[in-house]
Amino acid sequence: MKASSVQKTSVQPGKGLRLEGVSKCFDEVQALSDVSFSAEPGEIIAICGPSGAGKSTLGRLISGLDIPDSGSVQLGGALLSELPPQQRRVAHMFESLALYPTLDVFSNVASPLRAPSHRGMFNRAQISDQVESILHMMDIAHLSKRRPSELSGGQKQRVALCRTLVQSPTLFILDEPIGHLDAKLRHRLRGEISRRQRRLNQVTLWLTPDTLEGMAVADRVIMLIDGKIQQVGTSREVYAAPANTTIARLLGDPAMNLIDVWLKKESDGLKVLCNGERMQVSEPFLSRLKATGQLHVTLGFPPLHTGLNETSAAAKLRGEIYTIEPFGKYTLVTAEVNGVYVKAKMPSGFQSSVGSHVQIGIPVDHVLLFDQKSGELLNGTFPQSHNNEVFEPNTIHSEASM
Amino acid sequence: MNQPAMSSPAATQGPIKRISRQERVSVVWTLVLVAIAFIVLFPVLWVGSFMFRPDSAMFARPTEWLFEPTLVHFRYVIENGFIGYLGTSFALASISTFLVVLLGTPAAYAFARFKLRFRDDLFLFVLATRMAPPICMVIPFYMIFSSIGLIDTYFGLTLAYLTFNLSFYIWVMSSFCRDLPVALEEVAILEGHSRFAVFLRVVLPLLRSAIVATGMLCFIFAWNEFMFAFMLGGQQVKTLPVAVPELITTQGVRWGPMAIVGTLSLVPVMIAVFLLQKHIVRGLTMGAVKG
Repeated sequence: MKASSVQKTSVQPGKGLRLEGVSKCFDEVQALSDVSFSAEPGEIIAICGPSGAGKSTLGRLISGLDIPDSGSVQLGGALLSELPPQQRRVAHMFESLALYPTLDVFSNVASPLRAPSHRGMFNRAQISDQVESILHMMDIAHLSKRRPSELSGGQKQRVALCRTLVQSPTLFILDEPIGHLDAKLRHRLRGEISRRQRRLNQVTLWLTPDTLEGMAVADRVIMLIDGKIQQVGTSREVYAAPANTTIARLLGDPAMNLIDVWLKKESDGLKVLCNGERMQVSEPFLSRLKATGQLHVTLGFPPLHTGLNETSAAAKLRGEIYTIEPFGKYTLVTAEVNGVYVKAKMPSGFQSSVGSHVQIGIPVDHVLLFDQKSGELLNGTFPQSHNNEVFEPNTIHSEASM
Repeated sequence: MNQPAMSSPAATQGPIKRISRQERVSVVWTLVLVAIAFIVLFPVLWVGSFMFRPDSAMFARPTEWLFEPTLVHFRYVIENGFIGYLGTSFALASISTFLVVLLGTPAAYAFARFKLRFRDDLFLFVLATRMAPPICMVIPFYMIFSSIGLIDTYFGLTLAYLTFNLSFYIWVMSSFCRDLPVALEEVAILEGHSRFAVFLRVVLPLLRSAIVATGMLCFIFAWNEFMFAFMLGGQQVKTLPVAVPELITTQGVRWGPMAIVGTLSLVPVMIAVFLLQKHIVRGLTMGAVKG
C-alpha cells in the first residue's frame, strides 16, 4: 500500500495494519523506538517481550489512547493518526480488564455492541444471541447476572475477553488476555480464541510476556525488547534461530542453555574452554567454531536435546549435578560447570544423585552460535539438520495458578 | 434475652444451655453503649421536653420531671411565620446545593482528568475563595450586592453560598475523580462514546455515592449558614438561623419556641441522612478501600 492511496476518513475491512517508524517517549524514557511492522487481515500477531518492553504502549498507540511522537499507523487503508480513538473502532482488551462496576456481566459484554461503535449493526435479539454464545464459549454463561465485584480474577478476565471478542471491530488488541486464568482453562482458551480469530477478517494483536503462549497462538511472533523490535518471524523461525541471546533466553521451557566458550590456542592445537573447564569437541564442530572467526562465542542449545553421560556425544563437558526435578513425564536435570548451569530434559527413568559427576553431551546439531559481546546470532552458522526440531507447546509445565 | 432458639436440637436434647461468655460480654457492651448514648442524647431529649413545657415549669426548682404538656409554643411558632423561614432555609440550601452539584461535578472531573493550561493555578484560585474568613467576604459582598440590587434576594444569597460551597465541592470531588480508574473511561472511548457521553455514562454512576455524600455536606453547610444570610438577607429572605435570635425578646427569652425551632432545624438534615445513609457511608469511605 502506498502512502498516496491512504484515505483519511474511514477504516475499511479487509485491509491490514501497517506501522512505520513509530516512536514514543514518556518523560525522557524511550518506550518505543522506530517500531515498524505490518499485518494482513485474519492474521494473529503475537507481540512478546518481558514486562516493560513497551507492549501495552504499542497497543495504546494503535487504539489511539496515546499519540506517537513520530511515525504513522495505518489500518484498513486509513491513516489512524487522523482519526480520534472513537472512530477507530478497535476492540482493545486491557490488562487491567476495566469492567464497568455498575453493570452486570451480560451488560458489560453487550456494552460495545450497544455503543456508537456498533450503531445500527445489530438489533436487540442479535446482540443477545451474540453475547450468550460468547459467554457460553468462555464457560461463564451462568454468571451473566452478576456484578464484576462478585467475580474471581479469572472470571473477570473472561468477561473482559468476551467483551472484546464479541465486537466486530477493525482490529483486535488483546493485552495479556489469558494471563490470570488457571492452566487448564488457559490451554483450552488459547486454542479456542486463536481458532475463532483466524476465521475473522481482522488483524489480532496478542500481547503477552509469555513467549511460549505467543508462539502457540500466533501466525507470526514479534519480539519486542526495550521498545525495539528485535525479531519478526513465525514461531518455527524464531525458535530455530533466535536473533540474539536476549530472545533465546525467553524461548522454550525451560529456556535455551547459553554457555560462553573461549577458543584458546595451545601448543597441541586449539582448545575450547568453558569457564576454565575444557570441552571435548569433535573435529567438525571445532571447524564450525573456527569458521566464526571469533575466539569468544556463546553456545545455545535446547535442554530437550542435551544429553547426560552419553559417550557418543560430539561435544562433552564435565559437570556436577546441581538439581534433579522429576516432572513425571520427564526429569529436568540441572548440571553445574564451574558456576555455569546447564539444563537437560531427561527421560523420566533417569537415575542419579545431586553432586555426582556427569558428562554433559552438547547436541552439536542443535547448537546455535552467538557473538559473545553483542549477543547477536552469528550468521551462516546455522546447524544443518533442523528436521527433528520439535516445537512442543504442550511441554509447558510450570503453570502458575491464579 | 440471648437464649438459643427453643427449636434447635441442642435445646431439646440437653438441659438449657448456659449463656456463653461471648453472649454475656455482648450484653454488657450493649448496656454500656445504651448508657453512653443516653448521656450524649440527654440534652437533645431535654430540649425536646421544652417544646411541650409550660413557661412556669421551664426552670422550676426543684426540677419538674412531670408536667402538663402544652401546645402554646407551637401556636407562637406558627403565628410568627417560622414555618415560612423553614421553607426559605430549605429552598436556599436546596437551590445552592443543586447548583453546586451541577456546576461542580464537571469542573471537578475536568480538574482531575484534563491537562489544561494553568490547571494548577486555576485550582488554587478556586480553593482560594475559601481561604479568607467569611467575615472578610461578606463586607465586599454587601457593597457589591447593594449597588446592583441583589441584597435580600434568593439569587444574591445563592450566589454567595456558591462561593464557599463550590470550592469545597470541587476540591473534594476532584480527588474522588482522580481515584477513578482511567481504563474504564478509555474502554468507553474506544466503544465510540464522546468525552461528554463518557462523563455521563461511566463517570457519573461511579461518582454517585461521592456526589451524594459531598452534596449532603454542602447542604448542611448552607442550612447552618448564619453570617451571609444575616448580612445579605434578613427581611424578604430570612432563613431559620437568622430568625432564631428574634426569640430573644424584650419580654425575655422564649425558650419553648426556641426549642421547637431548634428541633425543627434538625429534622430535614436527619431525614436526608437516614434516606441517603448507604451512599454517605460509601462515599466517605470511597478511595479508602479500593475494590
